[in-house]
Amino acid sequence: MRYKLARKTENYMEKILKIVRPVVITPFEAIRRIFSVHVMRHFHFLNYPHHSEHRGHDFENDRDFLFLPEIHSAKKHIHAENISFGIVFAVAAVALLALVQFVFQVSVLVVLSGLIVLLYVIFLGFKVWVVYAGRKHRFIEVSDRELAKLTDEELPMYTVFIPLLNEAEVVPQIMRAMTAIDYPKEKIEYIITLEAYDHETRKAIEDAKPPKNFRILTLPDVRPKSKPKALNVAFREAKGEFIVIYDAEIIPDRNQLRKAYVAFKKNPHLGAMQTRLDHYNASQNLLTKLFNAEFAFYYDLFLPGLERMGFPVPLSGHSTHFRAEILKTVGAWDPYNVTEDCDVGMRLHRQGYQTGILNSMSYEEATSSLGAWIPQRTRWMKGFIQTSVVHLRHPLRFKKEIGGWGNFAAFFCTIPGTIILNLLNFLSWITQLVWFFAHPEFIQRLYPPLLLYFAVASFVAGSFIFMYMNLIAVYRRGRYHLVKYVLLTPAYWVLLAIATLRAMVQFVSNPHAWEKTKHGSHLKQNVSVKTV
Amino acid sequence: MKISNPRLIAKIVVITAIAVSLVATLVVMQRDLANASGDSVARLNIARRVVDGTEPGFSQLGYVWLPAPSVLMLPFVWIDALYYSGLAGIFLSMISFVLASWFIYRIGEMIMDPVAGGIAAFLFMFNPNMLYVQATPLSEMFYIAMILGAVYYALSWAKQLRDLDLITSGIFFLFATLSRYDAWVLAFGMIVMVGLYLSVTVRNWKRAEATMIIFATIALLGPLLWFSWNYAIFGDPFYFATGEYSSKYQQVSLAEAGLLPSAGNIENASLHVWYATRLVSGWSLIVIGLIGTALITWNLVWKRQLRYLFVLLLGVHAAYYVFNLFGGNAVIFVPQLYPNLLFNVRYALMVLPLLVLTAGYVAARWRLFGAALFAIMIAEYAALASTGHIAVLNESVHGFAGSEVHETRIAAGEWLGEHYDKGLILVDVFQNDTVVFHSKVPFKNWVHVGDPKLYGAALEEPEQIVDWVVLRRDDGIDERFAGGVWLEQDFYCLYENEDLKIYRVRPSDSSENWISHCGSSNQSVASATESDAF
Repeated sequence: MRYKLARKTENYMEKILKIVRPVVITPFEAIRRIFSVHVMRHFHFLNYPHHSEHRGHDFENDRDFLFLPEIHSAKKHIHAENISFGIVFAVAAVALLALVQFVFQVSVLVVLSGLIVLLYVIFLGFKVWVVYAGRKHRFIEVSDRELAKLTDEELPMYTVFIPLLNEAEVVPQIMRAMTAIDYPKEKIEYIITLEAYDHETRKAIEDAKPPKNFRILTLPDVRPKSKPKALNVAFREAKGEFIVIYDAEIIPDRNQLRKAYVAFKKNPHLGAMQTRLDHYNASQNLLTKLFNAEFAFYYDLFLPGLERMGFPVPLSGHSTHFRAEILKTVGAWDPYNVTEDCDVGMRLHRQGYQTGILNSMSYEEATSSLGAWIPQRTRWMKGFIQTSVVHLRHPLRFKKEIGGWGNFAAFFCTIPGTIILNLLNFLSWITQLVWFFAHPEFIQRLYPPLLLYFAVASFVAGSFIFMYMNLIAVYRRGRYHLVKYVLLTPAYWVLLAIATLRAMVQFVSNPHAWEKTKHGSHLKQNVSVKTV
Repeated sequence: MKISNPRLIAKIVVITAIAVSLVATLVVMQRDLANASGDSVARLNIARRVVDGTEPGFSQLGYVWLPAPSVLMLPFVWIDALYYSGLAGIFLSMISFVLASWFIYRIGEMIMDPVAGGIAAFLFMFNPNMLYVQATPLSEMFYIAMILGAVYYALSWAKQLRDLDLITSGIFFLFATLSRYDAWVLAFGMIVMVGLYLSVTVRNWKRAEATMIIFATIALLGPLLWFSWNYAIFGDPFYFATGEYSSKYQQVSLAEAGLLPSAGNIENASLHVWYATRLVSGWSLIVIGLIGTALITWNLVWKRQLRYLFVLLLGVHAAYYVFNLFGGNAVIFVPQLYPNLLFNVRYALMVLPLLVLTAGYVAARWRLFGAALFAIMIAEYAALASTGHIAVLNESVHGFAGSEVHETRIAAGEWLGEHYDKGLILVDVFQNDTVVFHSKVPFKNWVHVGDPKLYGAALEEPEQIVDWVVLRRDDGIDERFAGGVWLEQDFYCLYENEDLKIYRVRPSDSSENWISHCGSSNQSVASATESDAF
């Protein structure tokens, strides 16, 4: 009886739908189709894949050695995706501000001040949380016993890239460091990339009489003239199962390649292996001391935390070991990105590959003059801006690929957040100091009392916490003689802000310019290369 | 005899501390003694002004007392019931009491064994003066908990040299230095001890220097913030020491009245501290504690057990107060010495943790004899409590700044509360916290120095700004208006007692009839009906 009733009801419903559909549902579907086809197509950031992705990676590209689809490159910064996303974001922001002003009667400037404070607190909270999470992190260890068990026969082919430009002074040092690496000569190839016009470096290499497994690869005269372009040129020639990059001034742990191999074997899920970095000239002057403190925080506290939380890890430009096959899968490096290391780290994560941190040290030279530090840091910040622009072209797709909103937020706090934080720091310092000494009214208008107290408290707490984390990092590294200098970290932040401002200008005026870092100043100062 | 279950002792300590705290607080509140001390009321008022007033905000924290206890009261002080009962501050004291008891136990366990820790914790918990203070909004309990936490983590660090322990000790010092000035001296002492300890144990001066910096950066952050605060709000980083209501300023008034016998007299200063300590600890604890201190110092010097340095740091409080009294920067009155009053004896509570720890050490060292010593000390506590010799309580009620002295202010406050109808009330709040508190009139109706613009305007033209004026003998309002003489043209004096007068502005509508109730008033008296007269 019940079944018959149900069947009857179903039949009636079908008859009703047959009448209703053409009148109501069909127009609704039509509207939806019009919307998705004719309206949504203007929201480029929601539409993917991009037409450039249909071809996939092009490893035969000799014009500029860009193997990636252009939509994943910084070759052209502003695509339709960036513009559409920017417009939507701007409209939404303006609408929200207008709503807040209308509903809560709060001035726009006060809301913006509040947002700045909120952003600052979020970035601070994120970094503290990551550092706290990283306290239980353990670097990937390879014991002496494991190393002793390795036989030369089982070791795979390793390719070492050494991209050089005007590095004649440090050639002897890099040659010593490379020849000291403990790895069977027949299983390791060194590819040194050089521009055709870099005769001085070429001569210095030839004078050093490198062993047979060293090869100079002359770069074709194509733009961009950048390190990642050089790496891509070398990548096509690489025979190794594993690849590592060493810059001109690097002195790696001599067992690093063996350790990396064992680590990869023990952790097959890892696509890349970051090593720990340190400076051999940390004590040279105040700038190198503060630089070293920053490194200690970044490589000993922050990166381990990112790795432990499963967040995307921005890799370093050298001493990172890759599985060649996986590097090929992600399209190698973007020759147009001035922080190709950070960019490749994000792409690896998007494709599901994780990064480990190996307990093996590589020592590099800390830039010891403002004339070298500012351009270097400008390039890093510009690269962060490029990486942000490239990866946020399709934000929802990026969120999906990077592993969800948590990882998206981590990316935002780590990459664009670094740019924003450096600028916010600068702005906050100026505002706080002016208010502290002069109490001008316009600042009091921007910051009503409650917001002012919160802003000051978060800024003071944030500045102290950031400085203190640097202190702890240096202390934990055993660099006791440097600890007292870390108290001058606020001065370093001023330099960071200057470099970031410079980066923003360069991003517009000269986005692909590569300000080469001059190495070898420690040699002139007779700084001995002591490695811990 | 080895204790097989130190966890059991630990649990007993915590549960007892919670139970004892609750019972003591109930008893104190039932007898309406929680806010007996003028300082208790002042503490509550400072926190309340941050959330309630004509110009609420953190600048109301002022510059005299360090801000941490007041800031921690903020989540509760805006609720009237918690404010007026004192619970807004008592919660903090009770939690600090339990925490302090726990730290005492753990420190005792570290320097000797769980039995020593347990004895020390019980001696701490059952001290009647400590039980009273933990049931008040005073800052001493919070400070003691923070200092004990700092010492405990310093001891942990000394054991394993884990930097996280040292940082935690620094964080406790940060809170301590933001609650009492005593901690500033102890912080410096601890920095030196950290350096000394590492130099001797690890023999690496660079590491010792770096470790001292790691510790000092946090431990001294409190004083740095306080200097910055004084500069930002009052234009002088040392305003807390030189300002109008600073301790030094108050001491000047006492000195002029001949009530500062310790200033410049080291013997007198030492005796004051000695008597105060005896009053709060009892004879047996002070004797046994001193023996324990001597033993520990012996271990430190002859057996080179350097970690005892951190425990002995607690004794610096005694020296701190002696020198402060000698320098005329602080005052303590004890009945045994001129002027034979009770005032600030509760400062001696800071020495109690060292005494209970060292007494616990002695008692645990000789078990049976120690049990007897413990019984004697507890018996003395019981005797002190049952005979009404709880010095800190007596100070709050009968002392130089106790509730009996404040009776006139309490009465004035209650009168005002009953008769207040509308408008703003002008008051010198630093001298009349009790009046404000007991009137139960919200702070937003009071005009005081915390709102300098309005206060200044009210002092110039009170009749234009306020409806009421509270004037106490020798306070700022009294000085400004020459004892009320200059108010009489525009205000009626409606209340007077030995200390205070309360004025009400004359209504503009002359049909209302008002009667002045102050004997010294020169105004003409209008006739009044019963319904109009106050």
